[in-house]
Amino acid sequence: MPDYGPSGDRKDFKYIGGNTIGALSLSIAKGYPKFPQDIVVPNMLHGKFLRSPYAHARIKSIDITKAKALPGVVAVLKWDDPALKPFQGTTNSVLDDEADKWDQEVGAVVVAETEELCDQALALIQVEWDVLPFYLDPLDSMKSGAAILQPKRDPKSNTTFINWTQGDIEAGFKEADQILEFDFNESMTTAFHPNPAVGVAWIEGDEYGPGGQTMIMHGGATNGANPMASNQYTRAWGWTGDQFRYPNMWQGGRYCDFGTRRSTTIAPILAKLTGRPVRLIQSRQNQFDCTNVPIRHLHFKIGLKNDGRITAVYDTMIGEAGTRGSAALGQNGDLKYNPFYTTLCKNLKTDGTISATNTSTVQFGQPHPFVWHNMTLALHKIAEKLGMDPIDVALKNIHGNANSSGPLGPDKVILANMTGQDDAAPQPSLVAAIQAAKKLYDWQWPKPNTKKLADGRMHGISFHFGMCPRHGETYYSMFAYINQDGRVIMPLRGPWRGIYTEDICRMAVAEEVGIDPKDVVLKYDTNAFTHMIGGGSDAGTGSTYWARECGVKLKAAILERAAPMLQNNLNNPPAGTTPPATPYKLTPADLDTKDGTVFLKADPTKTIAFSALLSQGVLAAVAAGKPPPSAWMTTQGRVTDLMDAIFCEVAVDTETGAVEISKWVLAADVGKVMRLRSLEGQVEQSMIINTGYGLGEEWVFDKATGVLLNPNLIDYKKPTMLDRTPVDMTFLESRAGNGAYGGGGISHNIASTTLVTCAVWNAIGVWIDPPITPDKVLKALGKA
Amino acid sequence: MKAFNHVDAKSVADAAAALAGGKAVLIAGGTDLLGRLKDDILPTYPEMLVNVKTIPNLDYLYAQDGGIKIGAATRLADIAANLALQNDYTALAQAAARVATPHVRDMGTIGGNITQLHRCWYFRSAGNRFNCLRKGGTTCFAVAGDNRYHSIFGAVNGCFAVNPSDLAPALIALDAKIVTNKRTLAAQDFWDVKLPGNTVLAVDEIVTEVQLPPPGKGAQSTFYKFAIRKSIDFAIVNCAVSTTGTSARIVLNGVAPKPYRATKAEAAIAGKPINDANADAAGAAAVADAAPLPGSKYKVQIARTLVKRALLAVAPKT
Repeated sequence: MPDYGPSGDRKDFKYIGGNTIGALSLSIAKGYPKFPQDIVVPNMLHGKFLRSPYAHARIKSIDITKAKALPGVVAVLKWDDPALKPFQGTTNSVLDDEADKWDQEVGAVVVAETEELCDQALALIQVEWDVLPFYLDPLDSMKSGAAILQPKRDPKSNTTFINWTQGDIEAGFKEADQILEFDFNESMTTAFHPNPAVGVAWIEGDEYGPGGQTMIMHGGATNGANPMASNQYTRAWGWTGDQFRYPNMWQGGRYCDFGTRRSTTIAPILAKLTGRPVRLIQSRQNQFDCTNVPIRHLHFKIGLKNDGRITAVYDTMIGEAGTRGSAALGQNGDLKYNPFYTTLCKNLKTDGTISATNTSTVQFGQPHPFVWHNMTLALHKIAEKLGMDPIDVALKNIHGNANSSGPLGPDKVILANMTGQDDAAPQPSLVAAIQAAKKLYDWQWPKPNTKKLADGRMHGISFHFGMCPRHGETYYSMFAYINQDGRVIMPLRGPWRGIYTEDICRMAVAEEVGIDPKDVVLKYDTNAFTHMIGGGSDAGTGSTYWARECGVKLKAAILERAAPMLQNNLNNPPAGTTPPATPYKLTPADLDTKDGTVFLKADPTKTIAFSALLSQGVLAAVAAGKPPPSAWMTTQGRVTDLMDAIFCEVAVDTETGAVEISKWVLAADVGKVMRLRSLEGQVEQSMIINTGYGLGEEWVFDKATGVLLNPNLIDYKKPTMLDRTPVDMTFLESRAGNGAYGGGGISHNIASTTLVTCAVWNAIGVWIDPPITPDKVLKALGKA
Repeated sequence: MKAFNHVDAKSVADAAAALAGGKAVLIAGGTDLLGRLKDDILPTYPEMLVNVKTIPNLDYLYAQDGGIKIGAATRLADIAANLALQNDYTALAQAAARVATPHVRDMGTIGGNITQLHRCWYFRSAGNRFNCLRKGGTTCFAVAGDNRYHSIFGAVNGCFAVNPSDLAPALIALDAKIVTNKRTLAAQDFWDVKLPGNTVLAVDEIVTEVQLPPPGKGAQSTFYKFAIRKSIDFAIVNCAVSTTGTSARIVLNGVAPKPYRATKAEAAIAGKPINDANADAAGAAAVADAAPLPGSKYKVQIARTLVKRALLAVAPKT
């Protein structure tokens, strides 16, 4: 195995691999955090948008006279108000005269003394709507003659196309003994997050700043309290960037939702306009404004040899791009992360058609995490076609971990043109993961629709393999210094949004500096430059690369400072104490650290505390950069390293259509376990996602009106804790990741829409698109 | 949420007087009401909420004359946890235990559960987006729309929405009586389909007590609930069965605008031993009159299965 990460061969870990109390989770458990919805300040006004009752409509005329006249109403702004003009763009605006989804903010915003007054004022706004055609499925919006939904983006078409090709797809099909074709359809799932999007803003005097006043902004951009977000205000108002502060650190957990809500954007505008704090909060219904997985229709054509080897894969995807402001249209770059690159088959083609719709903002533009659902589905379809065990299909096709450049050099650089698709040797990480999973579960592949449980339900299993993406490809910045009390302080820019990267970073710093992680303090400061998050939760281990480097540098600085100081202390003991016969002459190499002190290796009783070192000035270290490129990010699977295996077991009640996931089993080569609790949490959340995708989650629209029927957590079936299935998990440590100590990551590739689908097929012998709800099961069985 | 007056009732008479004008609504646990108010689903908004939790002696559960009396403000969690109910009125305790979530059961009351409004995502769409029949409109939007959770036994007054109560079928199966400030009703006669209410209660009529008759000799009962999730969800179908001797009372809910007494199933099993074949026949009889909408066909199979399984669950153990 290559040793990518620094100290990849380190054996002696005192903290890494164990658990520390999570700095942020402890705060939450104690009830300290203030989330944006908790921010209430004196003299505060409330704001609310007019929202569209239609899935697609333009305002023909609007009269706000009565709303403005309502006592208690402070302001009513139409979309064409001069205050809003600078914030209107080609594809997305803070407010305009057209709504391209139901419940979208449109036309006007009201500011009043109370939320109820806002509602009353909104009811007084008279609107004449031009109701426009709408589409809830890309299959409809891409049709010839369909109404153009986003003419400012493209006046002629709702659709964009993307494709990738490798090898000779036709030759691959000619080589095949059999051709397999199948379809798969995915429903929309929500990016709903439990904390409502909120914008709270007000102006404070600033006696030191050049502008004399500062805009305080709570809520922030959903992807972070990013100072860059203030650019639009600085451009519009002539303010400087330092006149904006984002003190709200707590935004709640969310999954790949990078969109800034209009309530957040408009709050500072309204605060500046009214001279008072303004708060806009989204309702539970409003929160269903962003999809996680949009609608997709997939078709696969796969060439096969009779022994199960794949000779060609041609997959086509028709996906929805969503409304204006979505991230998806033309930006489906993640399609190129084709999991079939991990196979020996070199003849691969992907065509994507992405078409605008009137369903939702699609912030998560990529197909399901790194398209691994395609692979999972294909394994089982091939297994069905050839009567094979899907694990055998996988092992028949996956390539080894060698690469075309031979062993990685000392610089450990992975080149984009490397490939391992000629290496027919077993992939050691996957083989080890499958073996480990089989130790946790007695994998016996039954023929579909054959195994009945004692209670009469049908038993089914499925298999998924994946390669950890670890897409921590952004720049990370780490800063640590010794505090007066000897603890290590790490200033850190927030916000907190459910990723525990910070804890593993402080563990890496603690490991290197020689101090208990609880004495590495994460000091949240919105003005701090340093941040540890980027590129998703998998990226946590990528950020440890630079956390470790920061710790190494800080330790070096400590020892450099300590050597002469300890030498001086030892050679000049207090009065009445005998000096050493031979004076010490110490260098940093003579010293080491432990528990916040520096000690003499030759005599560990000779120490000096970190805090004592500060008498000669600050001790600090900075480290910044990208982690080394990962095999997945660089070669999209043509070079393989850390692999994982999942088993899903289901029981299907053929009399009611109920599907129960009875077991999850996961064995993952994570490179190096950094913080066990975080790792287990990532696995648990991924399996909850799989459960939701598999069994219940979907947006349901009224087809006649385009109104979303289930924008609440009763009718939208996100799994509850009682629906959580135990996960038997084990972790392997090949130390081949690109994070510190060869750590990798987990989560994205273990989320799957298809594991449950495949297990249900194994149980009852029919294919059902997710979510696999009782009505679909009974219909597939001819009972409904 | 809009502003409203909130008054703490001192007595049932106080509360009834407050309701008389038709502009006030009762609040006990509030688990259904507050959601409705937040989502503003109805064309009109109540001017006043009358808190009945402050009325003395509405929260009780005790045995009397061989039966059980339950105050209307008794919490669902207490009903679920009561040993006497678990032993002798099993279906009711099981039903209470399957309502929503622990938090809801800690707040929700038996009176609120049996008077809650129906579940229909058109009816409950926020801001009264769909002004349906139950709000004074002219259309049941579910007929042409997405009706996967709707009635399989046709409409009542044009409405295909279902009664969602878990306790309702148990109370009917157990032949309970429901006492109000005006009268005593058989549970069988308590539910109705009105604008927008789900009971026969008059505007100023308040449920004060639920009475369970003495259990017959050898009586058994059980409750089954089918939902997508194991918590929170309202039933896609639920079923309560009680048996005494060779007769059974079989009630389904979540399948019709009112709780559905499966009398054909009762007739099918009457006088017969409960075995797999007879229970299956009773299940088939239970849905013999089903007329599902296109999206709700699957519920017929589930209802049939639940009747069969509930009967087998109360069959004498040999």
